[in-house]
Amino acid sequence: MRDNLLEQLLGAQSPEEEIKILLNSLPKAVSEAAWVAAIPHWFNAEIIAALLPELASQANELYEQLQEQSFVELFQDRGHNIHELTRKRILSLWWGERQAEYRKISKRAERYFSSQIEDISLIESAYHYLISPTYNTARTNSQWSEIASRLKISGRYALAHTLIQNAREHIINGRVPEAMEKLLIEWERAFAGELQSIGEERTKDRDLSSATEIFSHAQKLFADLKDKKAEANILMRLSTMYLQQERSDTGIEQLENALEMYREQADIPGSVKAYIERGKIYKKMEQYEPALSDFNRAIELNTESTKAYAHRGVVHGLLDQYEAALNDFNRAIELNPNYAWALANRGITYGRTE
Amino acid sequence: MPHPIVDRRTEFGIFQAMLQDLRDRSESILLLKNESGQGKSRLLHLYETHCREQNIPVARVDFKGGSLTPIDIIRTVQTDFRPISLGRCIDVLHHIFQTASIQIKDNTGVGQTHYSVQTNVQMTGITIEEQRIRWESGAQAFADDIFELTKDKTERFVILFDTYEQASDETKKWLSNHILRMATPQRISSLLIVIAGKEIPAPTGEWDHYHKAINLELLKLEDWMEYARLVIGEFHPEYIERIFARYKHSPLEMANVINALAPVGGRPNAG
Repeated sequence: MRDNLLEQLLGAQSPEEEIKILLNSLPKAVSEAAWVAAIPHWFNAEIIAALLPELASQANELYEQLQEQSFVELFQDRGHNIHELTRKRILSLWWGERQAEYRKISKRAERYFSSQIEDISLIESAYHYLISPTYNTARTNSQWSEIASRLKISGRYALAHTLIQNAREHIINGRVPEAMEKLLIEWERAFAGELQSIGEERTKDRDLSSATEIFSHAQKLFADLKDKKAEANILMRLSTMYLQQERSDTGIEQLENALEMYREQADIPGSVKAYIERGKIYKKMEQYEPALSDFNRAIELNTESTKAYAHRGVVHGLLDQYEAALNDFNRAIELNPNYAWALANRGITYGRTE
Repeated sequence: MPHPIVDRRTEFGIFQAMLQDLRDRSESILLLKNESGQGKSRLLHLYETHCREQNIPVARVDFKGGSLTPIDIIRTVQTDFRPISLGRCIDVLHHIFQTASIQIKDNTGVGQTHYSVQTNVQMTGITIEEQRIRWESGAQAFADDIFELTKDKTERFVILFDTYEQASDETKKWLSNHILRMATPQRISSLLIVIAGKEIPAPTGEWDHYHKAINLELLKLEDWMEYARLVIGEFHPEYIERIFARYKHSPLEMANVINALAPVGGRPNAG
């Protein structure tokens, strides 16, 4: 047993120091391969060869030896990876003690992954470029823009989250300038906006299932951005999608989430719209009391909401409360004399009272 | 390299007993929730190896990286179940492969064919709705195949899912709506599904009654002593006690340290 090593490990002052001692206890080439293997999110022999060209001839052997280590695990379809806890500590050591080399190897990683064809490799390449010595913002903008285009074509929108998480990994650990956060937020916002537009196009094409999925991705991005207003607006769109697909429960759930966000933001027009939409669903489900309650709430918030009056008028009519219905239609028409739907419903109500 | 969980007969025994208990109660879904470094992946790896040794059809899908789509899952399961033929599933995949762009490449080894082949499926030039329909048809074909294979048989089929928290929302939804609901007595009673991760899926009405959710317990000192005997050979128990005092909450770090203490240039026969 290697008593000295144990003493060194137990004397370590930090988890990073422990990992350093452990890595240094490995045979030299395996140790260097382990250090380098922690830089990408996954590795295999080809990646080891690309990142450590001086050991390329031993890459297969090193890859096999690394697989023997307890901190190495399988990475589906792509090879292996260093376990996340260990990787985090090794990267911290790279940044703190071997930064210039870290940047140099990141440059190699950027080149290697950019030569691969999969979307995920392009994202990995962009991750490494952020700390490469030749970094410039224009290139990152162009890389991220290409990624956005490719994801829109392939439909693998969820990979946007991988790009965001990867960039955050560098931001959180202070490896990139603070301005990067702003760049990332701009990209995320723009991509979410593009998804919103694609969702609207799909809605026009009556491809509701697809539109729902795309709006859901956009909603997650807005949630990540903590843009409550944009998220609430998307939730409203999602609720419409679900309702059109006869999924009233999910539609109401989305509306309630939207309503909560509008309330938090003290967004009166948003809240009014959400109450009216929810009231309409209850009305459709023939649940007239909660429908009335929602229209009442909308009117309390905006005493000039023609839609709220008109819809409440219809519910009163359905409950045979014709006087109340006429009062609501009159108020709606008073506020908007050209409101055809209210005029028509008032006509119908007059008919019923005769 | 032996691993404490791999070599710890007791824990593996508990895991197997748990699966048997699941089966006795006509449950088919085991959800394993633990923080990182607690040994979930190793346990799944061990169980996968055990199944292969026992000729039990087993497939393992790891969501790490977050880029697996449902079609990748079907492909992985189909590949892992080989040589069992999933005829309908293969037909559906062929249909998808013919109408979509696909790249198959081997980049895991340098200058040699390695054990793992990377397959990247990109369904370009078709709408999302068409992709969804194909995924659903793939899942249905997969369910039909498993059903055909297992009807009137007691043989068990196993699918292990790891790093669930990193699956995309779309994949999580697909798993819950299409795969987990297959593993119910009304559908395919011989299918066992284990899902491990820092997060686990929230049960839906369709499979709520057929699952069990557990946490892995931390390894005990005597387990580590046994492991150290396998890896190091001769050692002072006090050393392992000292290591245990420091790292007992992280099996990964315990294993890292004990492995590092093994004599350079080889270790005793781990058995």
